[in-house]
Amino acid sequence: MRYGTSSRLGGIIKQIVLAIGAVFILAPFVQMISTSLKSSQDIAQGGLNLIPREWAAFENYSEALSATPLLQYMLNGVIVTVCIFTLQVVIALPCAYALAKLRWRGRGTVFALVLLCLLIPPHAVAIPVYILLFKMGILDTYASLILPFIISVFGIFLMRQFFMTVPDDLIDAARMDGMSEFAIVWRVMAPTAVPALVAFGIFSVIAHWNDYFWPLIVLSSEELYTPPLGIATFRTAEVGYVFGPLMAAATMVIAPLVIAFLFAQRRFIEGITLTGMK
Amino acid sequence: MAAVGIHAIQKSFGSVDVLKSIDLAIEDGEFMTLVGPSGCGKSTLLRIIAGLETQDAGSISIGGTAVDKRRPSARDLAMVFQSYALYPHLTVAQNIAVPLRMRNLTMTERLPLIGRLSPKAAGKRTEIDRQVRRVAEQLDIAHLLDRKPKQLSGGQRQRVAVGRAMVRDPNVFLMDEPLSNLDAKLRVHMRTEIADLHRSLGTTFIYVTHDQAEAMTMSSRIAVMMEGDLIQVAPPAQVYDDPADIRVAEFIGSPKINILTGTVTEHGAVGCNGVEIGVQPECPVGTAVKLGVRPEKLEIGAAGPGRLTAEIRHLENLGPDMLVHLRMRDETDPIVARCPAERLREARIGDQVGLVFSAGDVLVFDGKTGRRLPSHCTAPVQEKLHA
Amino acid sequence: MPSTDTMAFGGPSPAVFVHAKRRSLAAHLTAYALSAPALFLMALLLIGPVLVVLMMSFTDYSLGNASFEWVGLANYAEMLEDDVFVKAIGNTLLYVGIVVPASVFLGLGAAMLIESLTFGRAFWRAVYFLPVMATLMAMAIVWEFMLNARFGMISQLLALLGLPAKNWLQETSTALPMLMVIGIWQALGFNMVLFMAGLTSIPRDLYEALELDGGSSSWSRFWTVTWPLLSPVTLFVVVITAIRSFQVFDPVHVLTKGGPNNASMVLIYQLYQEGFDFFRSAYAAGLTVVFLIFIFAITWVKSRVMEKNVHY
Repeated sequence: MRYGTSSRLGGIIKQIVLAIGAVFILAPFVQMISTSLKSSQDIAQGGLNLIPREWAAFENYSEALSATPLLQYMLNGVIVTVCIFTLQVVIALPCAYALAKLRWRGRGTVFALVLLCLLIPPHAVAIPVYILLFKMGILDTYASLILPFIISVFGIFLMRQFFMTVPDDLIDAARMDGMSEFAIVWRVMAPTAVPALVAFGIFSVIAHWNDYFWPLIVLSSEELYTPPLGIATFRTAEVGYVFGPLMAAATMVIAPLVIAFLFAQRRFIEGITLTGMK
Repeated sequence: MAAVGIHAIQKSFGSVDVLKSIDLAIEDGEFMTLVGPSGCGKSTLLRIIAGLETQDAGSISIGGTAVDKRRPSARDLAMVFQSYALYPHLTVAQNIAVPLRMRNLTMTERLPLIGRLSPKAAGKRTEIDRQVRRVAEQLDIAHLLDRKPKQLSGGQRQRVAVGRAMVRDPNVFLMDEPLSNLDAKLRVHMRTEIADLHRSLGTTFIYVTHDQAEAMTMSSRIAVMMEGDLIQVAPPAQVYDDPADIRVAEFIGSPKINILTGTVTEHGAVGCNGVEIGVQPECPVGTAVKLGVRPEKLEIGAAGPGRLTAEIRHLENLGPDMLVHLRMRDETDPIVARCPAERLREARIGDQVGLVFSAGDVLVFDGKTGRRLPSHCTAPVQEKLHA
Repeated sequence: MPSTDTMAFGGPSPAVFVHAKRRSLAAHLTAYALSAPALFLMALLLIGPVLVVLMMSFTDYSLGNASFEWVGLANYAEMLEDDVFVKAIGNTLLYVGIVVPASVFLGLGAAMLIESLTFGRAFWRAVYFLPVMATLMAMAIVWEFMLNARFGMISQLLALLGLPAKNWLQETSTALPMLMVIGIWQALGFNMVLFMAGLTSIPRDLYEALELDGGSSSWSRFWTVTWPLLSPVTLFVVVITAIRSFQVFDPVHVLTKGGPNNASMVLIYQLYQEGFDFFRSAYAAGLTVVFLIFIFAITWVKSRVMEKNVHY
C-alpha cells in the first residue's frame, strides 16, 4: 500500500533528515580519523579541514604504537574476553540445561535465584569482590580480570530460554543411546544452540572488551592493561599537543569491534535484539 | 450497495504474472466468491479492489465510478482479514468503534483527555456507542464488549472482525479467507452465519477462499481462478454440472471428479480403454479427449464385455454411502465411486468390477487444452449403458 | 522380568518402586552436579557480595584495617550530611532524567524513519549503531578533543560562525550537559535497534485494517497501531536505558573526574572514589546500598507497569 508517505518526495526528505542526524552520530568518528592523519602543526593551525594539510599518518600511528604498548593492550583484551566467555559457557550451559530440561527439587528456587541475580548490577558487588581478590593475593593479574565474570546469570537465563525450545525427543534419543547428561549438554544441546551462543558471545565480548571500571580498580601493572584502560593512560600520560597519536590510538582501539560489526552486521544486530527481547 | 466492475486488471510481482487480465462484473447485492488454489491470484485481486495493492493495468469501478485514484478508506468498502487484524490493545467495543471514530470525530475530538471536553463530541460518542451495541447484538457478541481480543475464541474474534466491517455500513464487503483459521466444525457453522448475514444485509459480498465447499454453499456466483486467469464465472450448480475447463471440474467437487482418457472414434463415440462410450464431442475424429464422470454418478456392477473394468483397491465407509477406490489397468489416476452402502455389502478388496454410468453424465474435455467440449449423447440418455 | 507398567493391577511392584526412586535420586544428583559450579559462583560473586555490602554498610571498615566496629546507621547519617553525595544523587537523577527520554525518543524516531525507507535501511542502521560498538572510553576521549576549546571540531565550527568557544568540560554549567550529550549519543543506536525489532513485529494487516477503517494519516497510524503495539518494547528500552544511565562512570572518570567542583559528580563515581581511592570501604558500601535501592526501584516500577499493561 503506497500512498503519501512513500511518495518520492517523502522518501527524499527522510533520507535528508537521517543524514542530518548522521552528522551528529558520525562527527566524533570523523574527527578521530581525520586528526589521526594530521601532523601536530596542522592540528595547531586550527580550522575545519577534514583532509590533512600536512599528512602525518605514519608518524602518528607508529607513535601511538610505541609510546604505549597498544598491541599488548589489545592482546590483553583478546585474552581476557576469550577466557571470560569460554569459562562463562562452561559454567552456564550445564546449569541452563539442568534448569530447562531436568526435573529436580530446588529447580524453581535456583531459577528464582538466577532471576534475582540478573538484577544485581556489576558495580554493586565491586567492593567485596575486590576485597576477596585482595585477600587471595591475586589482584593485578589476569585472574583478577577474568574470575569475577565467569558467572554470567544472563548467559544462564538466555541459554535456558533457548534450551526450553529444544524438543525433548532429541534428548530422550540421546539418553537411550547411553549418553550421560553431561555429554548431552555438550554433544546435543550446545550444537543446536549456536545462534543463542553467538548472541551470548557478542554480548559478553562487547561488554568485557569495553569494560573500564573493573580493570581500573584491580590493575596497577601497565602490561596487563586492557584497551580502554590503555587509552585512558595514554591520554593522561601524554600531556601537550599530541592529539594526533592520541586519535590514532583511539582509532586502533575501536577498530576491532567496529570492523567485526561492519562485516557481520546482521549477526550483531540479531544478537542484540535476541538478548534484548528476553 | 453497489456493483463492482473489474476491467482488464493486470498485476505482476517481479517476473511473476499474478493476474494476467481479469474482467469481471459483480452485480449489486450478489455474493461473489473468488475461488482457486493457492497462488492463483484471488487474494491479490481482492486487495486491488480494496486499494491495498495497485494494479499494473486496468481499472476498478464501484457503483459505476472508477475508484483507482482513491485511497482504500475512500472507497466505502469494508474488509475482513484472514487474521482478523483486531487491535490487540483495544476492547471489542473499541475495536468495532474505530471506523466510526475515524469517520465522525475530528482528530482533536479523538484525543484521550481533551477530546472529552466538547459537548458535541459527547453526543457523537453516544451515537457511536449505540451503533456499536446494535451491531454487537446482531452478531451475538454483546456480552463480550469489554473483553480484549486475546480473551476471545477464534469464532468470537471472527465475529468482532465482521462487526467492525458491518458497523461502517459499506457498499461492498470484502472477505479474505475469513474461515481458514477455524476448526472444521466451526467453519461449517460460520458458513451458514455468513450466508445469513448476506441475506439480511443485502450488500455486495466479495469472498475469497481456496475451499471449494465454502464457495459452493454460500455464493450466488463463483469465479474460478487458476494461475492468474479467470476460468469460469457462473452460479454454483452450473460450475458443478457444466464446468468450462477440466481444471474447474477437478477443483470443484469432493471427492474429485474421475478423469478417463479416450480418443474420438468414427462411430460417433469415444473409445476409452477398449470400450465405446456413447458421447460424441464436437471435434474431429482421432482427437485425444478426457472424460469426466462424477463419483456419485458411478455405479458398481459385475465385470463384463462392453464395460469398463477396474479393481477395487480400498473401501471407505461413510455411513449411508461407501466410497469405493478403484484402479483401472491403463489409467494412472485412481477412480472413486460413491454408492449407497447396501449395494456394496458383498464387495471385497481385489474384486474386478464393472463401472456403470450413463452417457449423459459424461463431461468431455479436450485432451490437450483442457477446455470443455460440447457433446451430445449417441445413446438414449436415460439408458444406463455399459451396464 | 519386572514390568515397567506401574499402573497394572493394583499398583507398582516393590521392585519397580525401588528402581524408580533410585533413578530419581540419580537424576537429582546429576542436576545438582550440573548446576553446582554456577550456584557456587553465584553465591560467591553475586549474592554473597550483596549481603556483605549490606552488612558492611553498618560498620566502619576500611580496606587494610585489621578489624572493624559496628556503627549502625552512622554511614547513612553521614551521607545525608555529605554535600558530595547530595550532588551525586542529584546529578545522577538529572542525567537519567534527560538521557533516557532523549535517547528513547530519538531512538524511536530513527527506527521509524529507517524502517519506512524503501532502500538504504541497512546502511543507516549501521551508521546509527556505530557508537554502540565503539569503546566508550576511546570515544569519550575523542569527544573531549572535539570539545577542545582550541582545536576541537566544535569550537572551530563556532569560530566560523563567530561565536566564542568554551571549555565545555571544564565549566560548571556545561560539564554535566556535555556528559549527557555523550550518553545520548551512545544510547541512541542501541535503543534504535530494539525499536526496529519491535516495529517489524507489528503485523502489517493491522495497518491495512486501519487504512480501511479510515485512519490514513501518519498520526493515526502511529497513535492507533504503532505506539500501543510497541509498548512492551518501549517499556523495556526505557528501563534498560535508565539502569545503564544510572551506572554512568567511564566518561566521568576520564574527562571530568566529577568536577569541576562536583558539577559532574555521579553516584558510581563517588562509589569508586570512596571505595577505591580513599578506601573507605564501609561508606562506599553504604553508597552501594543506596545505588541498589534505586536500581531495584526502577525494576519494580517496570514489573508493575508490565502487569497492568501487557496486552498480548
